[in-house]
Amino acid sequence: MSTERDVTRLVRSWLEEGVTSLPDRVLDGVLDRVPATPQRPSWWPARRFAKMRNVARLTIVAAAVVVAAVAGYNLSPGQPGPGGPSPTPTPTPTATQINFSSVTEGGTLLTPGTYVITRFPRVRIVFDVPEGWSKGRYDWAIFSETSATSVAFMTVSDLIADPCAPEPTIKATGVSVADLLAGLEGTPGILLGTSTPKILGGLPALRLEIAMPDGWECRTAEPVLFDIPGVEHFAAPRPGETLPVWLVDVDGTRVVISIQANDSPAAKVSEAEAIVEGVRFEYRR
Amino acid sequence: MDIELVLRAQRGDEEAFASLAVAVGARLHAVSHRILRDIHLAEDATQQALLSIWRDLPLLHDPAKFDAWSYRLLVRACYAEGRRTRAWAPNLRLLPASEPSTPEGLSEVVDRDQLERGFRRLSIDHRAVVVLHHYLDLPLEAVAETLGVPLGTVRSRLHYAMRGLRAAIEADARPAAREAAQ
Repeated sequence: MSTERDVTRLVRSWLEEGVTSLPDRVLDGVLDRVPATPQRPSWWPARRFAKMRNVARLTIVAAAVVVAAVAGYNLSPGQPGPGGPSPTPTPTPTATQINFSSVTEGGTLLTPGTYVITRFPRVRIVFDVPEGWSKGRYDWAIFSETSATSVAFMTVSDLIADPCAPEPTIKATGVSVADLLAGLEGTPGILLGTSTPKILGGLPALRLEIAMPDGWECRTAEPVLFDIPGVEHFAAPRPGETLPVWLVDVDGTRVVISIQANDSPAAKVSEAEAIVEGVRFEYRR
Repeated sequence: MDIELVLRAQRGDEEAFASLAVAVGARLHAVSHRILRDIHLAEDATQQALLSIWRDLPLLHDPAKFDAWSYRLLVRACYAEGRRTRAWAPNLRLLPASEPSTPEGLSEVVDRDQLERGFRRLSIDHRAVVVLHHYLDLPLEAVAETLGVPLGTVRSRLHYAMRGLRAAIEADARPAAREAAQ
C-alpha cells in the first residue's frame, strides 16, 4: 500500500523526467509567423467574438457591413448627412491633423501633434499627443512608451448583460448617455464610483470610475462590458480593478474614452487625463 | 521576467517578443510536454501558446503577472491539442531510455510505467493542476489564479488526480508483485 507521501514523491520524481529545452525549429516557426499575426487590442478580446454562435456572428458582421455602407454613402462627397442636407463637418478639420490610420506600423512612436481617428461612421475624434506615446496596431488607442498607460477612444452601442459570463450576450441599452449609465448600474459585478460632470470638446460629458469588486467571481479571464458597433467588445475592469471612463453624447453617438493605467506613475496618468480632457469631436449635422 | 521586455512586446515590438520567447520558450515547452506526454503534441502546443502570447499581450493588464498568464495560455493550447488529437492519437507509452536492472530499479520503472498510464487517463484539467503544482511548485492559490478557476476546484482536481495515480500504481503493482514472488 503506497502512502500519500510515497505517491507524491513518485509523481514529483517522475515529472522531473522529460524535455527541458525548446527545439530551435519550434521557436523559429513562431518567430516566422509573428509578423503576419496581428496583436489584439488591449480592450477587445477577439477570442470572445470567436466563441459566439455563428448566427450571432453573422448578424453582427452583416449589421457592420450595412452600417459601413450607409456611413460611406452619407459621408461621400455631395451626399447629405443623415441629419440634414449639409455635409459640412462641424467644426471643419484643420490641415495640421494627422490621420491616425495613416500610422500603419504597430508600435510606432508618434510624432507629437494633433491626430484624428476616422474609424467611426459619424464621429471623428481629434486629440493631441505629447512626446512619448505610440500607436499600437489599431486605429483607436495610444500607448505610453514608458509605462503601461493607454488611452482608448470608441463609440458604444449597448452593454454586455453579464461581464463575467463565458458567452457574452448583448443587453439593449437605449440611445443616450443616461441610458448607458442606467444600464451600467444594473450590470452584475459592476460598481460605479463618483461621476463628475465635465466638458469634452465643448460638449457635456460625464467622467466616472467603473470598478469590479475584489473577489468577484469571474468565469472569464477577460471580462467585457461594452458592445462596440462592428464586431468588438470593450473589456470591463477585472476584479479589484478600476477603470476611469468618459461618456459623451456627440450628436446622437455615444463616445466612450477610457484610460487603462495598470499602476502607472501618477504623472503619466495625469498626462493621459490631459489628452482626454483636450479631445475634440467632428461630426455631421 | 524582464518587465520592460514585456511592455515593449505589448506595444508590438517584435524583437522584444523574440527575446521574450527565447527566455520563456523552454520552460513552457517543459510544461506542455509534461501535460500532454507527447513530444509532437507538446511542440505544437508550445508553438501555439507562444503565438497566443504575442497576439494577446496587449490584453495583459499587469505585466508583472506575465509568468502566470503565459502558463494559462499554454494550458489552453494544451486543451486545444488534446481535443484535436483525442480521436486519433495512439496511446503511446514512454519508458526511460536506460532501464535500471536492480530489483529496486525495476520497481521504479514499473512505478513510472504505471504513473504514465494513470496520468494518461486523467483529463487535461487534472493533468494541468498536477504539473503546475508538483512540477512548477506553484502553491494551489497560484494554480487557481493561473487556470482562472476557484481554489476549491483546484483542490478537488488535485485530490482526484492523485487518487487516480495512486490507484493506478496499486492496481498495476498487485500482479507485478505476484510475478516477482513466483
